[in-house]
Amino acid sequence: MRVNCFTSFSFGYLPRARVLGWSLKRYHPDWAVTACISDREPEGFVFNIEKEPFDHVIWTDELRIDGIRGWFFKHDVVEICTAVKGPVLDLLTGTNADRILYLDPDIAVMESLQPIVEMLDEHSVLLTPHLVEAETDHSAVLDNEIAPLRHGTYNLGFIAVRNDEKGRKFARWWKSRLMHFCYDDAAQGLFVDQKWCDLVPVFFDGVHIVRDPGYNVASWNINQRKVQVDREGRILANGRPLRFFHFTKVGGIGDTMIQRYAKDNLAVYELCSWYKRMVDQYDEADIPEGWWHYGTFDNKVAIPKHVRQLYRERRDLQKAFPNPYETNDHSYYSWLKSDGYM
Amino acid sequence: MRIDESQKQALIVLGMHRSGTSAATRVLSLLGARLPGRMLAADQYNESGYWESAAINKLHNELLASVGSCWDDVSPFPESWFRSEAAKDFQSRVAEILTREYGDSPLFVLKDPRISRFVPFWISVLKGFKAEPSFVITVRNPLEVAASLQSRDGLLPSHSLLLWLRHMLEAERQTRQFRRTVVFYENLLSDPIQAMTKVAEDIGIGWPQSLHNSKSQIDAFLVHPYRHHVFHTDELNAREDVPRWVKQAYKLLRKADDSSDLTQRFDTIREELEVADRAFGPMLAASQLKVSELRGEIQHLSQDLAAREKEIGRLEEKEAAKAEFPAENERLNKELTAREKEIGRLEEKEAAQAEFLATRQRENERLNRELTAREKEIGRLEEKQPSCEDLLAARQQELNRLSKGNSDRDSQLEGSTKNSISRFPDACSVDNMSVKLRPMRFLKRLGSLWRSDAASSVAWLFKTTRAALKKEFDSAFYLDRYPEVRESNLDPLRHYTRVGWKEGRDPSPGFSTSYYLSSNPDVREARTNPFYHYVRWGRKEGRRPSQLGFKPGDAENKNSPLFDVNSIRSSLRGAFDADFYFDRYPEVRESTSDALGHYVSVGWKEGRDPSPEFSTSYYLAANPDVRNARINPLYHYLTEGRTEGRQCAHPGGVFALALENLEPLERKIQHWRYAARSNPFLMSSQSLRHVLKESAGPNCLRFVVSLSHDDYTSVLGGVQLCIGAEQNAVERGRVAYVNLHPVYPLPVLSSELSSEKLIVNVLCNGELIAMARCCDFLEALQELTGQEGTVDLVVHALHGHSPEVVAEIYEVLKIREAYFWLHDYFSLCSGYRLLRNEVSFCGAPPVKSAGCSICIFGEGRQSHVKRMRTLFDRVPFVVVSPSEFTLDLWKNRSSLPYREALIHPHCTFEAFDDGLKGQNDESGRIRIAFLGFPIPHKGWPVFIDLASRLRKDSTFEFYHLGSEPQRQCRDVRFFSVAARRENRSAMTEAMLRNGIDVVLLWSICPETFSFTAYEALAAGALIITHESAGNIPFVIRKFDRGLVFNGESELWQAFEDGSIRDFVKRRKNQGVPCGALEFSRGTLDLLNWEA
Repeated sequence: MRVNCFTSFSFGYLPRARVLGWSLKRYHPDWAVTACISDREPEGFVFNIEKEPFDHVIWTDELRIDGIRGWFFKHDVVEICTAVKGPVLDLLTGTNADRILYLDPDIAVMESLQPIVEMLDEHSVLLTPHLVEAETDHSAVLDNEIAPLRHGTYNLGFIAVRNDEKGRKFARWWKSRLMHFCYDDAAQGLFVDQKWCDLVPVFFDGVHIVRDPGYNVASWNINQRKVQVDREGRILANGRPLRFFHFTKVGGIGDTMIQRYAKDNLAVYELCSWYKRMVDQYDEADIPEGWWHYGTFDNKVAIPKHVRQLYRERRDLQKAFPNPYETNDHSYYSWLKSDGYM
Repeated sequence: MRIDESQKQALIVLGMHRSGTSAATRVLSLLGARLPGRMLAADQYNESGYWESAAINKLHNELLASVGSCWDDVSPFPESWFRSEAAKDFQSRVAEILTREYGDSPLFVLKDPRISRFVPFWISVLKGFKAEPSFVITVRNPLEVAASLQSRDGLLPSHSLLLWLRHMLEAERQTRQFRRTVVFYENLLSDPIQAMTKVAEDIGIGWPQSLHNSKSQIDAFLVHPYRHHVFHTDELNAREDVPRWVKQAYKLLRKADDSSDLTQRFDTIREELEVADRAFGPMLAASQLKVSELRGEIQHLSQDLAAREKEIGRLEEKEAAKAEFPAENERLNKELTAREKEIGRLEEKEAAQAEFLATRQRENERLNRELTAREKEIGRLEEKQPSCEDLLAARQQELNRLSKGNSDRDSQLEGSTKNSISRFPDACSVDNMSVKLRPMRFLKRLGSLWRSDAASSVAWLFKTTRAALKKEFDSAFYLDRYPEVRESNLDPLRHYTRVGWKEGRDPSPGFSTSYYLSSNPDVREARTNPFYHYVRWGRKEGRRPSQLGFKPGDAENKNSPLFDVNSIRSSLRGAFDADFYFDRYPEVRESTSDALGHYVSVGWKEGRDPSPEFSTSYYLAANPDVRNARINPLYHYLTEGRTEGRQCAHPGGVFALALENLEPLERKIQHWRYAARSNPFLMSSQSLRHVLKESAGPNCLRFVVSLSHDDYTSVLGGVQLCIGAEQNAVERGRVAYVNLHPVYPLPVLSSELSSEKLIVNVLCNGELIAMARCCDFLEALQELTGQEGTVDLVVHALHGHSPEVVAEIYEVLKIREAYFWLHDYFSLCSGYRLLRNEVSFCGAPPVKSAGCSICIFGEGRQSHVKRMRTLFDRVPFVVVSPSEFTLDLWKNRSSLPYREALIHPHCTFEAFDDGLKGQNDESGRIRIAFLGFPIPHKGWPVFIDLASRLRKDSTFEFYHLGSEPQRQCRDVRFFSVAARRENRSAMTEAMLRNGIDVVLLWSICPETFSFTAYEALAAGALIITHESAGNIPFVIRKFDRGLVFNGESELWQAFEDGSIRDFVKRRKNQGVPCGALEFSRGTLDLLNWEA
């Protein structure tokens, strides 16, 4: 069984992605781990795959997509790192991989994911919901139920696909949507790649919703999942092996959410403390704070959000400036300057 | 702005380090000059940024290194280099970097103070880059620069002044042909707009951004308290220790125009400096080298002396006890007199040398100050230098003689001891000894004087800092918050001043180290102890000690209810606990009777808690919005936060908080290493054999060698008491009890694999006799015992020891029987309490389990277990456990082989036939006690919580019996008591005295035995515990003495529903038996020598 597990990130998330790669390799040294990087190295840093816990790297700005510079430009860092998941999944279905998994870079694998592979013997697409049971507490309804209504029922930090016709059909559809509509735009009913997947159980056959509490444990469902470490050293969520934990924004604002919902569940704080130590350990401090190559024009001037949105909306600009990162006299940048947008 | 289309314009910022080059560069960039693409990242020393190219900075360091120079070199940069091949190489590299950093920018700014020293190099680079250079020379009062460099880099002021001069002279000379301007640092800070207008005028450009529009940005940037050291020109002129050149140069710069007269005067200064440099440069360099060598030598000798002094002290003690024959005594006296003489001579030499060093120091300074007197001074220095070497050689000879005399005397003393008969016990009275010892004391003082000199002023600085902080530093808070500091046995204030602040630890609840450093870049850059800075200056300057503090005038929003004191007061009244507040902060009670008023006005800003339930610091840390809005956190919680589901304290409790400060094991080990003393005086195997033989006595037949992690004679604890009891039980004279514990204590196994590397303290019959390499100890003991089977080995604790060395001990000494005690679970994991991440009982799961993988002890556990396995494979231990529970757990969780396994309790309980307690108590009160150290692992938070919840229930009274009281517990009565070797029933007696009915033993780690449980038995007290408390539930069940719960919620439930009250009352009515404890003799009970 050939399994390819990919993750998608910019260099700012490299330490976390390394923890993911390392934690995955602990249980699945035979799986191919692919890093999809929507970024370029900052000066003085070389991404050496030999020294990283990944087997393959896909530089997503080299994907065969027409007008890729313009496509990149339309997205901010979160949007692009999620948008590329579509084309990359589609690309991987063209390889000899039998099973393809996606895991967010801020996930850490705590136990073997073999059951995923086995579930894909029967199903073609696996999704993990944010919540698997209804909330009772008012503030939890606000935080945990209304949020999925807004941002999508399923958490797309994880998706698993069997490389069969049903899986490929899903991948093609997802890719085509993400190519055009992978934006954080609540007013349009969009939330990057995630909201789209609310439609998946309706549109496609072979979709299975993983309701096992051991998968995708995170701040938004931790109030429903009691984490324990038993005397055999097994980490359990509601008595089931905790397979992977999604450390969304842990180390920042995520800590407050964890505290609000994990309450006195000490094992959760142990996990977070461990995760922070691991990220620290993998942070070689060679990436400047806030680095993202595509966050600036070629002259290092930061690209404001409204400039991206303007480009996203106007076909004429896209046509006139196929590489909007350029800053020469006939560039989008010059046009923005002369027209007072910047 | 006029810019030639083809020509780029480069603004080069020159000047001395610490003179505002960064600030000037940033201001220039705000006016439109392009900054480099990739700048040196702002770091903890310069949060507002360096504004200089990282690549160029790196290249400059390389460039300086290539000519054997560095940033703080006062010598001129070699002119010949500019024409060298190396220069060309650098030039082409810089050109590449320039293109990358600035592209085609028409106006850019380039800064690095180092450039001042090699301006011609840059002029030619910029020519190739088609950029026209203009120079902005920043100037700051040299005294300010010197003060700044002294605090940042510890540079001597005389050094900094010369460095300043070098930078200024070079910058001035090399830029004469170009457009240039001088910016005074104080002008830049006080009126940047005017300063920049002058720059524009002087170099003839217009700013791309208008000054008016940029003003707010510039002001916002310069708002940081940049200028910490302020000196006036008058002060510079008045100071005699500032070289005339520096004063002149500063004066000329202040005139700053390009008149030829001025440049001539600059040249004159430079020529004078050059002459001086040629004359003094080599000599100063050589002197510096020599002084540092001498200092090193003195330090070494002082250490040696201290060690010898100790050795002599020991010998003299023996002499006092054993010198009996008058003739012998007289001879010894002679010997001592001779030694005294030697010491006196040595003393004189050392004094002379100290005087010599001081003289040299003074002379060096005078050299800088009095230029005209230089020639004369050189003569003097040259005269002194050879004699210094002679002195050192002579002193070395003296020491060698002393050392030889010492060992001769050693053997003579040994001889005298053999033949001694006690006839004249008063011959060596105390008075005599004190007279004889006096020179040694003087030497010691002298030694310490030199040591402090040798470690330059660093030790002195630490001492001064500590003295200043003593009053304000909160040791109890520090130890409480950082338990690992307590474990390392370091004085907390010393820990804070040496490493604590650098690790971001807080010295008191009201002062945040990290906040102070992050909000005061000047302090951070100066690398000054932030708390010291605050106490000495910051407070007066109105700086905030933590982010909670209001600065005067901050409450602009006076009309908002959020800042209306009366409205806040009335809202808080119901939730504020004034009694708690005064109890917890007694210093507040001294200053006011209005606790609520104090909390509302300043208390919350100082991080104080309004009630046991609400944590001010947690709420502010977890809610940045509240923190940033500077709203009273309790007010926010009550009015909004509560309904929004915000937490009033960390919901995970004290252990979740501990996890936030949990250090990786590697860092803990570093702390321990740091705390360890260096350069111990190691005894040779030969000397050790003598000492050991003497200490063991002439009739000693057998040895018991015990291994422990610390000195059981000075550290108070259960294991230490056991070892002490064991040692007391040996038959003096026939058996010697030798204890080895590591000189460098560690929380893990030592990484040393051989006895040659492992250094141990050697105790014989409870007396420290030596520090030695383990191999020397082995050799010494091997020679003494000779016969096989006369040595037994007892392993009590292995922290800081090496399993490989233990196996070596076993094999070399041909040990008869080896015992391994299970006082803890160190043989299963270096987390010897089996607490995963120091907070949760783990049960020693399989090494490769997920549980271990998230634990700080997990990573090292595999090799730890492997090394333990090797030990148990090589040594057929008799494993001794103090309880059945511990042995079962150990057998289940380790696969270590053993010869035999025994259970041998540390004490047994015998109930008195007529000692029933409680029957006649009609008070109806129940007294619940916590015994021992009030630490979380022993269940202190649960006890406190209980006391607080049951505050209003008059049935229950809470007591803490221990050696140190805990603040913040008005619900608990404290009584001081400490069990010691000489009084092991102290705790039982204290319980009986206070009529304790119930003891809460809520240890979160599995107790291997629990003395406190037995003490409770003896005192006729009932015990409350939980299932995972190790041996405690077993004791309760065995003696039917209390209740065992499954977790805290069950415990609360039992208190709330009255079942505990009923249980205790019922048992008291029946009468609870008191009794006596019989303490074991440890391994001595097990040794069977007759067999």
